[in-house]
Amino acid sequence: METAEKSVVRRFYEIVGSGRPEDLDEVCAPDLVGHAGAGSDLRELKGETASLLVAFPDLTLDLRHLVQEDDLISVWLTYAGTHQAEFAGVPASGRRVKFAAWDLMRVQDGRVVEITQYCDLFTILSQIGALPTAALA
Amino acid sequence: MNARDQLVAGSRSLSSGEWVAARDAFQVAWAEEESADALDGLARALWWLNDPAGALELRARAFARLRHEGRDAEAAAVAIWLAREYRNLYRRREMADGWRSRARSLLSSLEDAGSLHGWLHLAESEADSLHPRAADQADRAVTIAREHGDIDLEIVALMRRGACMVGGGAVADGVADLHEAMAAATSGEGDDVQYVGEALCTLLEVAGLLGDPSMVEPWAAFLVGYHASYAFGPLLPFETSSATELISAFCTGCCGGVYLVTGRLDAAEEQLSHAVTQLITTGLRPRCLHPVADLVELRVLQGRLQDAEAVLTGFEDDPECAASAAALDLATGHPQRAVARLTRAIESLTGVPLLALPLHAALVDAALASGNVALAETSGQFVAEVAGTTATVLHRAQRDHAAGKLALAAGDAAATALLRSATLAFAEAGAALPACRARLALARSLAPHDRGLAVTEARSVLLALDRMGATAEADQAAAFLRELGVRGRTGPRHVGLLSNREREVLALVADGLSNAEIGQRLFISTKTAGHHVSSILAKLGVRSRTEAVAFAMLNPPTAVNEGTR
Repeated sequence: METAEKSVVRRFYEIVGSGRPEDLDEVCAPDLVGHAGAGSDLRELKGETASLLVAFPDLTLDLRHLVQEDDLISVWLTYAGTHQAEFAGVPASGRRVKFAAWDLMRVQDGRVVEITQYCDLFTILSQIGALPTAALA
Repeated sequence: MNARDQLVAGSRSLSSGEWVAARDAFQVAWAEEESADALDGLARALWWLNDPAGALELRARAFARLRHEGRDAEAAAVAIWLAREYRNLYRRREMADGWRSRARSLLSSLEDAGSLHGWLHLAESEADSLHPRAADQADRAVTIAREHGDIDLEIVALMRRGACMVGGGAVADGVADLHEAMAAATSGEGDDVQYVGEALCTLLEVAGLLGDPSMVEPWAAFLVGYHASYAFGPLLPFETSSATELISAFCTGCCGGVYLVTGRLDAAEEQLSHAVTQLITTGLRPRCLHPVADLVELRVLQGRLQDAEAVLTGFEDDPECAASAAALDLATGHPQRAVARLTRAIESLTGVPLLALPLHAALVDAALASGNVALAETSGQFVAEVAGTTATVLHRAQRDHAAGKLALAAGDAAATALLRSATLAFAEAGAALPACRARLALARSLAPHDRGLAVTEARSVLLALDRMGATAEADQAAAFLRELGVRGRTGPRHVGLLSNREREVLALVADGLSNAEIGQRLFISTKTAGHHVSSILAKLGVRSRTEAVAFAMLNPPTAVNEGTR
């Protein structure tokens, strides 16, 4: 039987995976506090999410592990998508990317109240061809 | 070699795709001894050497000679070929009708016409628009082709029947015909490679109508292999190696249209300008699109409205140019004229819902701009009905886009979800330009209650449109951002543009600090930290903190800038 907190977190990723950042209101507290890649507040969290979805509109995600301790959920996940619009100044390359991410969420009263997000930016930039490679000629 | 040997050599070269050798052989044969076969062979070689005007002229002369030699069946075949080329390459209806009538009278006096009646039915079908009634003619052609084992005819007639059925809304049956014909065309069952080319062209046309490029993919991959063992002459440049290049070489006009939708406006510009010049100077036009219509659309996108008007001159009343002309009307502030123009064009397309769909989609905008909500709703309804029958991603996107714009105009909260769906579906269909339009409408719908997200989405649109060179629509996005109180455009982007303080903030953002933590670290308020972050995003032309960090990684400050830190 899954805990209520884990269900909230799963719903969070359903919304991200369906490409609708505006619906994050459903599962996030209005005064959410964010850290690192999540931005500082709910507004920035939606912006960060929307930004990723613009560059990779077919984004899918795969939840590998959800680990809970009290109201904290730690999530290990991978994203996959196609680079279809500018990302970090790099024009659309049409390349597929797959990268890991780690999120830590605090869930209270059925809402995410605090979130920290890190993703493997280096892998994204490498896979969209923005980094010099050491491939054999 | 004597004339007879030259004719044999020419025919062999024709069937192995060596067009120059064929032309030379037939020319020598003609010089040795004037004959219908030499003329006809020369004409066919010229067609492949991209001189269709010369080919048509010579084949007409070959027709007369065949008649004098009493070879009426061959003459009828040539007449039908001429009718089809005049119609399909030049849209010269009178010439096409004349040659068809000529063929019909000849056939009526022939005892054994073989499959020629089928070819005539095909030509009759092609003289009509993509209408279900034209499918009946094509169907007769298919039956006759099968009775006589004429694979070339079966391929083109099946393609035609499929295209007409799709045009009339019977998508599944039509697409089945197309794939059957492509299987025959690509297997090498047929005799004349011209019909493989025609088949691919029809496939591209229908894929374009349905907005489903994946229809072409399996065959395109096959054709690359086919091309390796068989020269396609002028339709394909020699170096062509990838499927995409293959398609674009095959039908440059088509791809001018494709580039427009996918947002590659520079490529579209080159192809369309060339196609329009060709249309005006020689009358030759691509089968599946009107280059004038697409070039007008491109000029409107670029904000070059006077150029658009100039290109449109002489084509104002062509129904195929109606949607582009209406876009020009809207851009120049004449919504009523756009409504009238679209309504007229739609009336001429009764019975062909698939062709009417893009016009109805345009009419939603024109009607809303002229304040006629009821008309906009009717058109939105039409788009939804067609989308229901075709079930393609592009049409679903168009349905939600229309419904979303109507909801937005009515202040209905459902607008956001509809426009989000439209944005995602356009992106899925690879239609980058309409995706930008839907996303800008989405940003407008978000603005009253989710300003931050509206800014992010609008910035994305501005970046994408600027990159495409769609100046006029990029200006709209920039104006909307200014309404939201945000600076829209930036000039050249690099980290050197940031102030020392902003670079400090960016370094802390890269360390994963939130605005509050940045404020504590730098002894400034959280709000001030937030302002610095917004300014960094605007100066770097990125949408998010993650992208700002990535941008800084990719574009490190130069040594000179480094020294100022």
